[in-house]
Amino acid sequence: MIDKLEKLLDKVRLNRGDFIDVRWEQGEGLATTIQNSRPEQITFQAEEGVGIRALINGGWGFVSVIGSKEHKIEKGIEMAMKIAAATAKKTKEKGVIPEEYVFEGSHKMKFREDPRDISIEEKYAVIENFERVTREYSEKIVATNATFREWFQTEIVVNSLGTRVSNEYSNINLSCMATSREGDNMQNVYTAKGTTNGWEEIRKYHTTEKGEELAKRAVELLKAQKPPSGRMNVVMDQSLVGVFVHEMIGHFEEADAVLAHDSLFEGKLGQQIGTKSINLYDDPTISGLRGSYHFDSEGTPTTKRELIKNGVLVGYLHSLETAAKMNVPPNGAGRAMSFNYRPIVRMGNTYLGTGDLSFEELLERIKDGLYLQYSYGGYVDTAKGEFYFSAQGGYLVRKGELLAPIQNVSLTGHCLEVLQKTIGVGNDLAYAFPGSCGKQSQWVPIHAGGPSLAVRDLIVGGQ
Amino acid sequence: MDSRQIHEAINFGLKRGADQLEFFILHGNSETVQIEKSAINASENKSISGMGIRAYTKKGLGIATTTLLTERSLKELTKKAVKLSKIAPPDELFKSLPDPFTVYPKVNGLYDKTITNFPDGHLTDLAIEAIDAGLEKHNVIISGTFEREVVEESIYNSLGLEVNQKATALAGVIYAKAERSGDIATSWDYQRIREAATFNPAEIGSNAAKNAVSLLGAKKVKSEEMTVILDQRSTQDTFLTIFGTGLNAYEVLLKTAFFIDRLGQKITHEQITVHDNPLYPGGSASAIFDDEGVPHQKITLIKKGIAIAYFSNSYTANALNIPNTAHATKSSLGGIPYPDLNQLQIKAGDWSSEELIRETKKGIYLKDTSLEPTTGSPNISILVDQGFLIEKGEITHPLKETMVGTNVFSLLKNVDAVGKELLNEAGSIAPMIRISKAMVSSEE
Repeated sequence: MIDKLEKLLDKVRLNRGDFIDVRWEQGEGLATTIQNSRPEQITFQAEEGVGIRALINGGWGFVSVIGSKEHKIEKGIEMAMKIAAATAKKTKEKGVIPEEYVFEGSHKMKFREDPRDISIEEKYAVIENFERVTREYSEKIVATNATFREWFQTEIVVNSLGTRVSNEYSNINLSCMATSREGDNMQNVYTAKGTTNGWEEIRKYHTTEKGEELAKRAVELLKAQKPPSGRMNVVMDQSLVGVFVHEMIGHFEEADAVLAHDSLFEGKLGQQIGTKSINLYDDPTISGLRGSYHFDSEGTPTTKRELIKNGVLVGYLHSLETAAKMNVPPNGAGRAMSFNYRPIVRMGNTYLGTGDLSFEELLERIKDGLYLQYSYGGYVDTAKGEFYFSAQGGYLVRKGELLAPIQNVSLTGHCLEVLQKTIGVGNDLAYAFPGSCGKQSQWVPIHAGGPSLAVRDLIVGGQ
Repeated sequence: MDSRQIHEAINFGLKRGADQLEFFILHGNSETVQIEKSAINASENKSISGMGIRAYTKKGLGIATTTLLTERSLKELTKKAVKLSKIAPPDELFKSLPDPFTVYPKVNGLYDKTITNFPDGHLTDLAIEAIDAGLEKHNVIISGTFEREVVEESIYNSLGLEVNQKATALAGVIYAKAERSGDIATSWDYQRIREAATFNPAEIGSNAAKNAVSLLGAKKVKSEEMTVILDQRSTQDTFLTIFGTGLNAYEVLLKTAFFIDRLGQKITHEQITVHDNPLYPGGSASAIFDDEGVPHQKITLIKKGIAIAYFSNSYTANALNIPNTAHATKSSLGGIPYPDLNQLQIKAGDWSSEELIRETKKGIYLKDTSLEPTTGSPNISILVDQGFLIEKGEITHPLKETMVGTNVFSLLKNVDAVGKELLNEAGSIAPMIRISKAMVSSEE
């Protein structure tokens, strides 16, 4: 395939500064769900297609083609060039690609235990147990949903500068949701395991234990207090810290947002933006996490990115184009959801560096406030810096000790204020948030985490 | 892919042992123009074609889906779906796919050949019109997306159902960022229509810019219980999420529907009457049939504050022994067609917007902000993206870092006024409503 794509590109005549890349992707996967003891679905999904990007006279054009027939790709290249040339006439800021970064390489999936060798029946049995244990824990559990998903894909990127990269990628995900109900009081909790490693990770994940834990949480939340409202000190668990660093810091680090005047971090490189205890990284090279990959969708090898060092903003996440515009090397953050989308700047595995405080010491730091656990997700307005995210539950904290459990709760504030109000970083780093991140209608797998974190004066919203 | 090939695939699947089969096929493409830093940034042309096959064998369900529409892929995919259906344990609640129908409603305004035949560069020109209008009176930075979509949907099942519909869509969303002395505000506006003549890109651009500027100078407020007024978009989106879960037959089956066993009971203000109407001419969510090929119909969900009906698909209608209201909706080609709402049409009340504000001593006014419940729970806790403080009957300032908290039951119980001015956005029709109290969390 790589030679076929290269031959097609060789036929194209480009002027200096013009650029084309052709990205072939073939993927397939299985998803299976059990809901309230009923087999919901077993689904097989397959896709194959080519995404063609052209930069002509500084204008960008993109065309996607289903399948891999030569004449269709050729026609797609022609159309992408035509669209790009038309766009160039209307655009004010010319697009650019750095000519000095040309990559060759390949990565093949390797597993200790290949999930494709595991029978569908065995995969089904895993979620059957997960769902059953969760449902049978208590009569108060009224709804359960256990899902297993796997995806395997090959992406080949060839561009007019000479890049030739073949990259295989996979992920598997196991999750369970439980809803408890007493009259109009309903509580919903969720847990998930996401990895790019093989089936051995699922064997290590004890669904019986995890299902019981999940159901117990759902039932206990029925009796928990409604959360208080207003400004208060908070300790967040590693899952919440994951969402916190992804939403509240990570999205500001995306250089396309910075260049579009849509990031609060614009113009702040080298500045102290948080307390000295804040260190932030994005590292897709960590083995086995959901946001791990070797080459991005532009063919750039990825690397560990240091973003904040001792509270100072030291770097951004880059695609080829943003790197060229900021005159720095690209760092492999140009990701596309599938062949049907253009690569844009995305995170991989984002995490806060570890600190030296124990959990008890963090509670001591906040004295009175809340300990919040298990993320429900969140979002940020990157231009304003205002964020929102929520926890599935937690505890009131009084005099540095956990008091009574509380129900789900939301938080808001301003990103920079929070970075400056961090009063303690725990020593219990965990990559506790496997998730998916949405941007410009593209969803990509990510992982996030960090140690438990104490922050003062967050705005907490009750019911 | 033609009808003969699909019929052959159905026969092939039945011969391999499936009891029932359904083929859902999309043919189409979309053109997109991206806007960044108040200028055209890129243009895209993408395929949105693909196929999803549902096979049932002894009540076991197997699904297979692909973007490749070839005769070979059709056969392979059918084989795969049947194989998976044999592996899947039986779902005893499954009775049957829908039987064929002889009569389908006529829904006007779903397809506009003007949109299909846009000349090259026309979508870009519409996007530029929006940018220019946004920049005309305000100093803002504009971004956004304009999209044109042409899709043909075909559904076949082994019971003889065979339907087809073609639709166009034209959509534009503009985000605007305003800045004054370090104070930053953002806002947006959008339109999604099916007929080109009703599309007004300049209005999208100027509204987004005007909204963003109006949100400059935002302040926090003291945390306390206060009145909340929802504009028409906020009402539409809030009711879509509340009734979308609360009266959903699938959620009834799961026992997570908010209004389970409450049909016939008063759940909100007597001036609240809500229909779901996918037959509205030119409606952005209008269609002749649902995603199982069942003829669409207009239904009443709430009448004078009383819960009237659950909305269903074939699976839940059979399982609960209730009528199939034709609300099967696929979220993706491979997705199960769960029940979902289309576009709500909420009746007007008798309060003018001026009266609603004037009669509010202390409260907040939400613009295009949905008070949606947290997943799997009736609890509501949302960030106010676009909101203003009302004091002594007047809007005093925009809000920042402010959340509204309540729950579904309290929200509906506390509706105490319904506006008389309706906003009709391509078939989604809603008034303003006032909620007498909800918890507002912020901190001055």
